[in-house]
Amino acid sequence: MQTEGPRSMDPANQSASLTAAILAPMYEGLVRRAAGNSVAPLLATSWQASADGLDWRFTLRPGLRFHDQSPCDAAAVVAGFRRLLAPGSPLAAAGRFDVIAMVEPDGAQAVRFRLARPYADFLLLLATPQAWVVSPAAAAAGTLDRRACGTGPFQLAAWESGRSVLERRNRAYWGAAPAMDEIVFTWSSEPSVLYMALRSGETDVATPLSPVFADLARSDPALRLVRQDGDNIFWVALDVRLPPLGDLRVRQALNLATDRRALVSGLMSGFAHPLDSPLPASTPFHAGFPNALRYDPAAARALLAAAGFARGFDLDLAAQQSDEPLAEALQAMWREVGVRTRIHRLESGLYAAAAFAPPSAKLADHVGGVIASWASGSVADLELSPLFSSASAAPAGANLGFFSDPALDRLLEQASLGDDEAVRARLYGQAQRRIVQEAPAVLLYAAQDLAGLRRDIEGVGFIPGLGLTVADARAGPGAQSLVRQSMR
Amino acid sequence: MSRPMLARLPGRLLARLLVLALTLLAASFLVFGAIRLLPGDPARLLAGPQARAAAVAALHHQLGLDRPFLRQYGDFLLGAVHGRLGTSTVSHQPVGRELAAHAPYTIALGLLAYLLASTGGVLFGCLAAINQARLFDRLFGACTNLLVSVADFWFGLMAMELFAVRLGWLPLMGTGSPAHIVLPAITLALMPAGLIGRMTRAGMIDVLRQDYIRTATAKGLAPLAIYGRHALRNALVPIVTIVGLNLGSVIGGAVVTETLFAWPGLGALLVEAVKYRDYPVIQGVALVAVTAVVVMNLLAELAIALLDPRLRQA
Repeated sequence: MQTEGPRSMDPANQSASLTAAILAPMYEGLVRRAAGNSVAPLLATSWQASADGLDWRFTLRPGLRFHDQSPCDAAAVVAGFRRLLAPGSPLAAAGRFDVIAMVEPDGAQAVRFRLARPYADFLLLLATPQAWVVSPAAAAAGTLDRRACGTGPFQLAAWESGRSVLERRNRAYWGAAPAMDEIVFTWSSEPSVLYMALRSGETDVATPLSPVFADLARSDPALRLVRQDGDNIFWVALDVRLPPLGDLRVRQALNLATDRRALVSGLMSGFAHPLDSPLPASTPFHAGFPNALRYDPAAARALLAAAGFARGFDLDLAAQQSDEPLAEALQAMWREVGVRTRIHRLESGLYAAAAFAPPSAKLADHVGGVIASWASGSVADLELSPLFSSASAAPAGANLGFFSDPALDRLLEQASLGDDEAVRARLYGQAQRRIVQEAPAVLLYAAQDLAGLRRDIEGVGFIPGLGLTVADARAGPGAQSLVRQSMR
Repeated sequence: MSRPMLARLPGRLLARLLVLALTLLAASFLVFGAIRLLPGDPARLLAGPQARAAAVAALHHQLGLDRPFLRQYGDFLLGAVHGRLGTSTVSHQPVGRELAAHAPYTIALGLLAYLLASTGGVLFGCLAAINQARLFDRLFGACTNLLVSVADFWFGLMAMELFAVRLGWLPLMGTGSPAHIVLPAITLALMPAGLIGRMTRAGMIDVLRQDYIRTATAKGLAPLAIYGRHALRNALVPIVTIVGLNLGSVIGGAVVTETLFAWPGLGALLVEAVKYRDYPVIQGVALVAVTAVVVMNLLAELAIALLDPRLRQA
């Protein structure tokens, strides 16, 4: 059971991690995410890249078939990527793959990509849910949004909107057969109901568990808590065009006035890590700057006084309903240094409109700060570029405070090109230092991914950048019946 | 039913149906316009925060949101007249099919809840009125105060924790067996039960003071006949009005209860649709809700006419 249902059955037409979790048992990509920054073969058995990193050739596993029995060959893979690359494509993930200049079949069993520029994270990009391979027949028929059709170990049996998604074992699956015959996904937007469903045995797996209930699940003998240091970061984007936030000292002061440890222990029951960089510590190329992001209200007051705001200033802060406790905690911390925060608590639709508003609208509404969260799939470039590069300034991207720094843009560009890990580590380190110094955001914490499991379920765990995976679930030794064939 | 009433019935029904059509037209315009005035771009919500601006713009165009408002409304009306209410932007199903799939759940839940609320409310309300100012009446007052003022959300959560998690007597949520409807129906029934109970009590006390009740008592009628035939029938008129009006709005969506119990009715559908700004589904549910309210009002009016002969002539 999850907190929301699927938004589409087409992996390229969604960007919600909880939708991807429902689709994961049914779809596969050319490659899959493995430990750290590496990938492992999946539908592709091997690949080669040219010396300049521009040409890639993937050899496909032979004999693959989609759930509709059509062959999953080179032509099918190419058709899937061309959907995304077509100009004016309305797919939600369109534009994410624009580093690909061309994709074409090379015989029936191999696919060639030509990139517009070298891109070190290309393999990681191919491992994201949006790059999962879909049946071209289903895509052409326009039924993919409603009826999933991939190559995965499970296939869609029923999606009853507002109720459940039922997936059954794909008997023609090319790989090892899963232990379960059926998986049922259900959802409730009420966190306490999620936890009650887990305790009453109504569901075997509940995610994302809110920290309060994760704490309870930990001490319940019938349950098991699974967690991972996730990539889900929380921050306050500051509108650098709006006075007084244009003043670097003011932005730094807000960072120093924020007690991240208190937020983590008070709001997240300890299931989070204070950020010491824009990247969470679990993401490759992370470099920490704990001193710059320390809690030091005296230093914050001194900086505000130097900036001419010894008596503080008024700040309007936009937050989603679910982030209201966080907003109130920040309000109290910032009051200590004289900042008077007014919270705009917004319903999700209003929030999206306010957060992605262009500079003129933010100026008119006088919204200086926006509480936001982001999951990058644990890929440095997929977080730093959309959140802090000039080209991503809202409404085009998620740079919600319109931060623009040519030096940072250059660093991010260079780091994404090369494939020398040491060089990239140095460049990403410099980029993180620059973001911490320029303080376009108040960096808060990286939340852990949390799931509650019934004791008798095994094989369920988190995969970096994807979330909870349930396709390999099996009954554990404590199972009530010897063979459990269905889980929900 | 008297003869003039019967003769005028077809004409009155026709007039009512005309009013229904006009109400629907006005409501469709209001709903259509109001949801487009809401801030929040459906394309942005659908594509998600990580989508690029170009993809959002393309989706905006695909959904037809870049066309003039009146043109969108005209197309919607034309489709609606032909029974086409558009396609959900989230589930990608025709809206008509979505409404048909969800409506039976709301109707079943609403009817059961109001059956419980009316029986319980009227029964206990009468008993309280008869035992006015005694212990039973005081307990009744405290209970109905609680029922009317405590949120059904809280009642629902407590009932789930007690009956589903701790005792394991009833399923927690969702559908699948007749037992699944019990907790949501009781949760939904509590508030109207309190309301109906209090109205019944007040109405009965009022009626029991009337001269004709004293006459009935004086001529030696059995208490059951006095309370049942003479008192309750008169006290019921305002209660039927309230039940009729509220039942109509339940069909529009028992939003909180359905969301809490994952009961797949129109209320849960509406919440999801508003969250993602699924315009076609919001419009569809709103039209069903308006129709239900108008139809239930009509039925309540007919029921009152049956109960109160004076109104048949009016």
